Amino acid sequence: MVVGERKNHFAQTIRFILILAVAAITMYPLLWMISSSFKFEQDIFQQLGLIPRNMTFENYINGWKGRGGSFSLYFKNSFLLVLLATVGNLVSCSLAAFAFARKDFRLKAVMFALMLGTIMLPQHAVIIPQYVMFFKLGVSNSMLPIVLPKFFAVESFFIFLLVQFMRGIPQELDQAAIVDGCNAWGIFSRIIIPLSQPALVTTTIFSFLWTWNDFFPQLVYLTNPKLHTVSLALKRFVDPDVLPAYGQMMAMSTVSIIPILILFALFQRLLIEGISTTGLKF
Amino acid sequence: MKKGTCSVFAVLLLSVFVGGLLFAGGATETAANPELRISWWGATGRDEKYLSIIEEYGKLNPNVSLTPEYAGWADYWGKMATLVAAKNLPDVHQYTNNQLGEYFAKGAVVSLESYVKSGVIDLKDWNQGMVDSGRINGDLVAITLGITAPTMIINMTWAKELGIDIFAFNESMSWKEFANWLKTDVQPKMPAGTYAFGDYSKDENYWWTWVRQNNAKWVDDKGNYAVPVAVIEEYYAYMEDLRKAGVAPPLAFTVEDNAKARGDNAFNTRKMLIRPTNANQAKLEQQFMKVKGDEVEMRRLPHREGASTSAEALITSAMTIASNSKFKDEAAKFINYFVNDPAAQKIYNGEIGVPGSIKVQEMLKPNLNKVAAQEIDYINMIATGAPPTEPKPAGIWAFDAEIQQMHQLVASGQMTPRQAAEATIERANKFLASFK
Repeated sequence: MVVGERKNHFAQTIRFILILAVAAITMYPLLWMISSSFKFEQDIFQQLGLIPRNMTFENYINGWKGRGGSFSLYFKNSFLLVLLATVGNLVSCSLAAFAFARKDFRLKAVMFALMLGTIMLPQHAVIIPQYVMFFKLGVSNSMLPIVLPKFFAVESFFIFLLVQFMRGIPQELDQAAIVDGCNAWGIFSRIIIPLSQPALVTTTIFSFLWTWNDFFPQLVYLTNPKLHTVSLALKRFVDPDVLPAYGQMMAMSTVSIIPILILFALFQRLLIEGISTTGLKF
Repeated sequence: MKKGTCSVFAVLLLSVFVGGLLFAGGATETAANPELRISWWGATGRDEKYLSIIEEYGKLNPNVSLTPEYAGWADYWGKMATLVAAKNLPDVHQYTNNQLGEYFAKGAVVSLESYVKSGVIDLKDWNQGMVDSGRINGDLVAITLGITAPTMIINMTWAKELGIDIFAFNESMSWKEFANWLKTDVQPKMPAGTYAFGDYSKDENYWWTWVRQNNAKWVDDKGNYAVPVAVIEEYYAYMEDLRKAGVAPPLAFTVEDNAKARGDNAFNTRKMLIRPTNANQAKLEQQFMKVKGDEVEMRRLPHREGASTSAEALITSAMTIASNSKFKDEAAKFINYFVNDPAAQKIYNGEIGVPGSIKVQEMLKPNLNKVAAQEIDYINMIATGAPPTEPKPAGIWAFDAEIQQMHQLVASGQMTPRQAAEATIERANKFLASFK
């Protein structure tokens, strides 16, 4: 091995060690959570190591029973909510993005700016007027207030992400489609959507993740305990009025991240492609 | 766009509506079959009690539809803020007197006087002090589910081992006498590294009691913070003096101790003899004492020099009827059932504090452990003849957290008590300006 190659090898080794160290530090809270889920309650804050000295599955068994309801109900509700919200976002945001990316219409720039402006609106600023509106419509105690807006392209972040991606698709393809007799809908469904797969997958993953983890709207709108979701249920484990059940909370938190991990694992290639081609930086 | 594709979208949208509505509430409400929404804060153990009581009421009143709504403490208030703005508060819901004043000012609750006068809500055998805890400007707007109050809990077993004489249950000292007693009679007998008295800075009810003892008002007619600077200064200075004397722990110890889980805190593990807390916490602390046989008792707070009473703030958790409720009469009947019916109270078992009904107290007492039984005696003792506890005006409860922060600035040497007192008033007025 020549000197240059040896230096290269050494530098690469150092780089990998540093990356592994940073990864370990980043992953530590997650590993601690998983480790604590297998510990007895009194050991969670006493034993510092990741490997439990005395292992137990009680936290999973008792945690699944839940506090006020079984986690099977909460998971069912969360999946339903996430499915509807994700479908809504995909349908409405892709249509809105197509309009902004490919069409010319009056006040397009103004509407685009307004749309981007809503990204800066915090949730807590709009929750009260939104609640009043849905209450007057008589649907405040249901999933509708959370799901319905998704079908009306309220998620500006996803619209922006898709616009950026769609602008990268050559316009020549649209023109070729027009020559072949496609109308706007044909261009959207046959050209743009198939080629926007990475961005759509990114939208799916983040829509899933954000709806799955969302808390405050679910707290406000889902008053009937039969509608409660995983995020509401996890919060019940720790309350100032009672002895917290940290072990059960860690166990159910571990279970609750499994669907997200599966989603990431299945679509990670497309996710990375979707983010990198839109030029979005996180 | 093809018709087929339009149909697909229409079906999709329709399915969302139907799916959402399937999960919506909305039974038809009539006077013959009223629908009551009942909300509370807490966690599983408490939820099970409320749900059992609601179930029992439902059996006795099958025409009434009862919908429970519950959340954890912090989440409950997040929801309430939204619901009150939409005028969609649950028919029967709860407050402590920390929040009651603020929500009363928003017109959220109705007067219950007419229901008490007509006997729908029967308070004849109640401790009057406990009834009055639900009054605002003399008007009864809330019925207490349980009262707690600030106290100091003492590890009596440990005190006896150390040869420390503790004053009697029905006695109290002045603040000056108390400090001297801690410095001369208690701390010298404590082992190294342990403390006679805990830091009261995190206990907002100690602060409330201090304000009451000084006959101070929270806000003046213009809505400005009205607690005198000298009163605030003395509150910070008293605790700082105990820290400097080594009688109370330093800031770092207190911060760490406040974060510890029950069972590991300084009081549970014989690092602190006397702990400021609320009376309803005493039985929980007793449960988690690390040394077997350690017995916990309650004692009154010190009083002002020359005063005849310590005037502890009575902290009520109480049920109210929403002003937007369409079924106020039924709501009143439910509240009466909840607070007076023996079966309901047997289930509730003093969950949130000492019940106001003397009959209920006597029914529960034989089955309570020593500390829980003493809690009833303690609350009855301080409630009898207590001056009225006026609920806090809007913003005052939220501002209480600043008092703890100011204590920390004094304890860390960044401010003198006087500076902290002046800063408190300045911050309070800025904060309260947003509520005007």
